[in-house]
Amino acid sequence: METCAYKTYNLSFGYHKEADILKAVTMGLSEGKITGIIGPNGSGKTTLIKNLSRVLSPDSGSITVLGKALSEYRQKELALITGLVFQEKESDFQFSVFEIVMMGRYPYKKKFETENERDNCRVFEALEKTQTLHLKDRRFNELSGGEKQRVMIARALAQEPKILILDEPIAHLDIHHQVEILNLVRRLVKEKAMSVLVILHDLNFAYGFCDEVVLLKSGEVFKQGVPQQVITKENIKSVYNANIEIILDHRTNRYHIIPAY
Amino acid sequence: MKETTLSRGKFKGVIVGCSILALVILMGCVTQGTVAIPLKVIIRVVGEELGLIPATLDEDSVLSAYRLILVKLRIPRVVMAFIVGAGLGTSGLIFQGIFTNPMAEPYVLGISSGAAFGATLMSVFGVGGSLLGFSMISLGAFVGALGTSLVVFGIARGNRSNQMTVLLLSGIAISFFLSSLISLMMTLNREVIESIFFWTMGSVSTATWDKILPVGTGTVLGIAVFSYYARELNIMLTGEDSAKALGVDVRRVRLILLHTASFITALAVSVSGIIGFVGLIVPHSVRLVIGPDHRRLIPLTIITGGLFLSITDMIARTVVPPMEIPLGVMTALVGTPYFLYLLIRKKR
Repeated sequence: METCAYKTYNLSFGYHKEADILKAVTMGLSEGKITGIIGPNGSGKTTLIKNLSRVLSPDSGSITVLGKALSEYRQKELALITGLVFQEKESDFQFSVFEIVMMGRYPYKKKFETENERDNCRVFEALEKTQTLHLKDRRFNELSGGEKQRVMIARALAQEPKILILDEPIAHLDIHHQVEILNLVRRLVKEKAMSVLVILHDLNFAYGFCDEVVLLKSGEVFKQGVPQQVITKENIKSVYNANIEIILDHRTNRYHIIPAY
Repeated sequence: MKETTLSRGKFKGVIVGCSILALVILMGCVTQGTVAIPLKVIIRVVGEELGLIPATLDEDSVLSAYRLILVKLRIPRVVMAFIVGAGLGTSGLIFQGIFTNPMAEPYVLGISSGAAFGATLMSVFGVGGSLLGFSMISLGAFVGALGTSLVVFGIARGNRSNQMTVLLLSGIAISFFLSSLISLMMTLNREVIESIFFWTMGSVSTATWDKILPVGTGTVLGIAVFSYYARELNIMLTGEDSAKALGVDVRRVRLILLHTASFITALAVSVSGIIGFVGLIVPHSVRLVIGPDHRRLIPLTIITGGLFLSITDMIARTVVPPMEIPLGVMTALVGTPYFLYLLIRKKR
C-alpha cells in the first residue's frame, strides 16, 4: 500500500455545535503527488486544510501525518514537515520581503538564536526559486497580488517542508502568474519530492495539473481519485448543480472544461 | 525611497548612542525645576550617593538643600517619569502588535477605565492607609486595571470564530460601563470629585524611591517577558493562521503578552494616574523610524517612551511656576502636533 503524507479518518468539525462544516471526512494525500481539493463555495475546503495544519482542531475523527497522529506533533515539529500558504491578508506592518521569508526559518531557531549563514542560504534559495530575489528589499505590503503570493510561497519553502499546503494560490492572479505558480509547484514536487495539497477553484487547472482530486460537497468527500474519474459531467452536476462539457482539444491532446449554457 | 534595514552591528551602535544621549537628557531634566540646580552639583551629589566619590564632610547649607531636593524630589520624579513612560510605551507596543492595529491602546481594552474605576471606588469609600508604600488609591487602580483586562479576555475566550472582534467590542463596552459608574459615583459624592479629577489627569509628582522599586522591577520583568516573545509577535503580525503553521503557539503567546501588557499598564497607572497618548504615539513613532521588527522596537520604545515622559514632565513643572500642568494634558499637547507631523511627513 502507498504511504500517505496526510490521512484523515471520519474528521468532523464545526464552528458551532449545531452545524458541522466538515462531516466525517476521510481522505488521503499521497506522497510525492499533487492532490487538489475542489468543491463549491462553503463546501469546507479551507476549513479542511486549517484542520490539517492544526489552526483549528477537529471535534472528532483522526488525522495522521507521515504515519503519526497529528496531535502527537509539537507545533514547531509540525512546522518542519508541513509548510502552509494561506490566502494573504492585508497588514499595516511593513516588513521587507527578506524579513518575511526569513520567518520561514522560525521552526529551526531556538529562543534568542540569531539567523546564521545556513538560514541565509535557504532564504536566498527560496527567493530564487520563486523568482522574487529582486524584490528582497521591497516592503511586502507594497507588492502586487502575484508578487505577494510568490513571497508567501518562498516563506513556506524556506521552511524546507516535505509537504506543502496551498489555499487557492492562483486566485486573483492574471493568467501568466497562474501558470507560473502552478509550474513552480510542479517543479518542486519533481525536484524536492514534495507532496502538495492545493485548493483550486478552476476546474481546468485541477483537471490538467493535479495527480489526484478530492471533490467536496457540503463538508463531505463526494469523491476522491484521478481527475478523469472525479471531474465528470455527472459529478459536477450533482455537486455544483452546473452543467459542463468536457472537450478534447485534438491539437494539444488536452481536455477542456467549459460551462454549458 | 528605498528602505535599507540597518545591519545588526550598526543597530547596536544606535542603541548605545541613544542610551548615552538619554542619560545626558535625563541629567538635563534634573537640572530644571522651581530651583535650577547646576549640573556640577548634580554630578557631585549623584556620585556621592552612589559612593563613587568620597563624601564631603563640611557641607554648606546651599549644598545640603540641593542634596535634599535632588535625592528626595527631583531625581525620583525624573526616574519615575522615565519608568512610567517606558512602561506605557511598551504596553502600547504589545497591544498594537497583538491587534495588528497601529491605533490600539490600553483605552480600547477598558484597562484605563478599569484603573480609574478602582481608584474612584477607594476614594469614595474612604479606604485610607497604604501598603508597600502605595496608597490605597494606587492599589485600587492596579486591581481595577488587571481585573478589567481579565474580564475582557475571559469574555473573548468563550468565542471561537471571531475572538479578536469580541475582545475589542467587550473592551469598549466595559469601558463605557465603568466610565458611567465613575460619573455616577462622582455625582453622588461631590467631596471626592477633586481628588478623582486630578488622578485622571495624571502626574508623577508623588514619586518616591519606595514606589520606584516595585514599579521599576515589575516593569523590567514585564519587558523581559515581552522580549522573550518578540520573534513570535513579529510572525503573528503576518497573519495568525500562518503563524500557527510556522510553529508559533499563537493562543499562548497572545494570552501571555496581553496579560503582560495589562500588568505593565496597571503598574504605570497605579502610580501616575491616567496619562493618555504615550502608549499610542511612542510605539508608532518608533515604528515609523526603525520598521516593524519587535526585537529592535523594544529597546528604542523604552528609551523614547521614557525620555518623552521625563521631558514632558520637566516642561509641565517648569513652564508656569509655581503651578504644575497635569501630565496627561501635557502629553496630549506635546504629543499630538509631533504625531501629526510624522503622519503627514510619511505620506508625501
